[in-house]
Amino acid sequence: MSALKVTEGGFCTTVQDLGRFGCQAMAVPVCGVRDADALRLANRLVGNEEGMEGLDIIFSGPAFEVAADSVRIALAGAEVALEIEVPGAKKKRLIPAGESVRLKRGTRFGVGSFSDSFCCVLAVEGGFAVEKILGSRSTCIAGKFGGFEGRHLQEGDSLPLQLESVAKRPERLLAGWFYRSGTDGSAVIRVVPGPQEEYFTAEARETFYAGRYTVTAQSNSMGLRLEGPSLRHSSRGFNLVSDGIVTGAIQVPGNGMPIILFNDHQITGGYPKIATVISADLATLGRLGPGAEISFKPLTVAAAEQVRRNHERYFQQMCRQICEVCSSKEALALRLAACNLLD
Amino acid sequence: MTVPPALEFLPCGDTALCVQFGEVVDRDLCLRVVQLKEAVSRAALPGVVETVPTYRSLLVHYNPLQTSAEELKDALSGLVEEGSDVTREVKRWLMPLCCDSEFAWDLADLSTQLQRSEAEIRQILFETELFIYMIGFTMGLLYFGDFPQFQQVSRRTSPRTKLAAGAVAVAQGSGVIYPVESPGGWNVIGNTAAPLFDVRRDPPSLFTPGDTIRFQTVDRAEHERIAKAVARGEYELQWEAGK
Repeated sequence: MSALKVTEGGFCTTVQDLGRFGCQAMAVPVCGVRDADALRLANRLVGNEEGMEGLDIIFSGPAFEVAADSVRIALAGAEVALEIEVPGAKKKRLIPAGESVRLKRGTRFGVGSFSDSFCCVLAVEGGFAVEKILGSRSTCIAGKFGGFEGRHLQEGDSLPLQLESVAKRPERLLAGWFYRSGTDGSAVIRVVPGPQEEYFTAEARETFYAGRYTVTAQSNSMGLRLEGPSLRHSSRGFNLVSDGIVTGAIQVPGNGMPIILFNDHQITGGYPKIATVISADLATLGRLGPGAEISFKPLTVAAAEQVRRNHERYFQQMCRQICEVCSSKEALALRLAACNLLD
Repeated sequence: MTVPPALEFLPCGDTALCVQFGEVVDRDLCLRVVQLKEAVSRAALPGVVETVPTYRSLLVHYNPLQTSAEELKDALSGLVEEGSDVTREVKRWLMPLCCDSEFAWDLADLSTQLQRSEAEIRQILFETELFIYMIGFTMGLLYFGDFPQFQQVSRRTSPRTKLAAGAVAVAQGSGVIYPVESPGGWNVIGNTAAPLFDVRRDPPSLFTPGDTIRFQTVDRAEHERIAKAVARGEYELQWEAGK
């Protein structure tokens, strides 16, 4: 069986696609990759459908040995490189994020260190041969199912691949750098106020949009716990009869510190939600790790929907800049220009 | 049926709209939520991804590349106004419940709190027709009611870190069934071996809000027998057609 042998698991590496939809009424969490834009891009680079599963790599990268005739892989989502050990060569071969590469059996490779994002994504041509559960191959850590054995990768695992070999063809790269904000450790996250704004004092609402919040180390894929100016609830208190929760909902429990509910969040909850992160900014949110600073900017629903449509248009434009590696000097020039290496 | 004045559309970002029927726990509210869920599913509104019913609201997830909140509000208001001429088949689940002392950790405590004998409490448990309000919080967790007799029973002052899968617990007039091992602060009064949640089954949970539960008392031996049959995939939970 063809596989990637895991020689290092990394901090937390899981198989994720764009999420498990359709079972939230049974309280099954959506899960999915932290940076959906990065997964879609990486998939494009290796020739997959955009929504195919890849590896969601958090904080520090895993390392593998190829146990298949050949594989094609690509990284996206951070300024990071694949570090490939070429048998017999002294130096490692580096392939930057945004470029695909074909590797043969026995090749060892790792994901280098990265700091401009909390996560990045590795896509593999053809995807992983793991069971689809309830329509998705995403790992659900809380439920211990999906992905690879319902857990994050560990040294010694053998992650099965769908393809035994991949055809030779020109590799692809993305000419030009697409990260809008990257992250320099801070981000302005756009939100739609509500659904329970009236559970907060006028002062608290002002504070929320004027203040700066820090992502704390208590955060995980269920929620980003923030620290910053405390938000006072209005006379209505902070206990609701439970209602539904959407990814990006910002709930505020009794202690006044907001929690942004993220991909693995519980499906219902009883704390008031002051605002909801717009869908176009969820990938940016996923790139923020502990210590990152967030400030919030309110948008209307209609404006948020328009931002999302623009975001999609931008993403598709970006994908049209994917070109073949060797055949285009123009592409190289574009890429160098983006790196500020050419005038 | 006309749109009740209490009906509200609450924005949940640009990918969901919360249709709120009220803010309290009430069977009629909950039934209206379930009814709207059915109507949305039948109408197959373009751009709707899925819907999540809760005690008092329906969360409608949508794809903003295919529809908008404005469009959806119109369509959903229409569906609410039309009402529903189709009545859903309600299932009355007959659920085995073992109240052996090994499982009914808080029965004695409940008896003290309520100044009722354990036998009386069991009688309430087994004689009440219970209503499933929602599946929420975590995978397959059932919220049901109502036990007016247990209204003044509070949650435990310190939640337990580990409750067994199948634990049935009560507090403040309501009940929950934990389908998988989890922490919990409610008062545990028994355990059911019924198949509650399985990701490899589609749908993973048998229950729908609006269904009802009648607990059937089983002894320890029967509980074990059911658990083994469930593990072999040879147990079918019985139900009767409701009104």
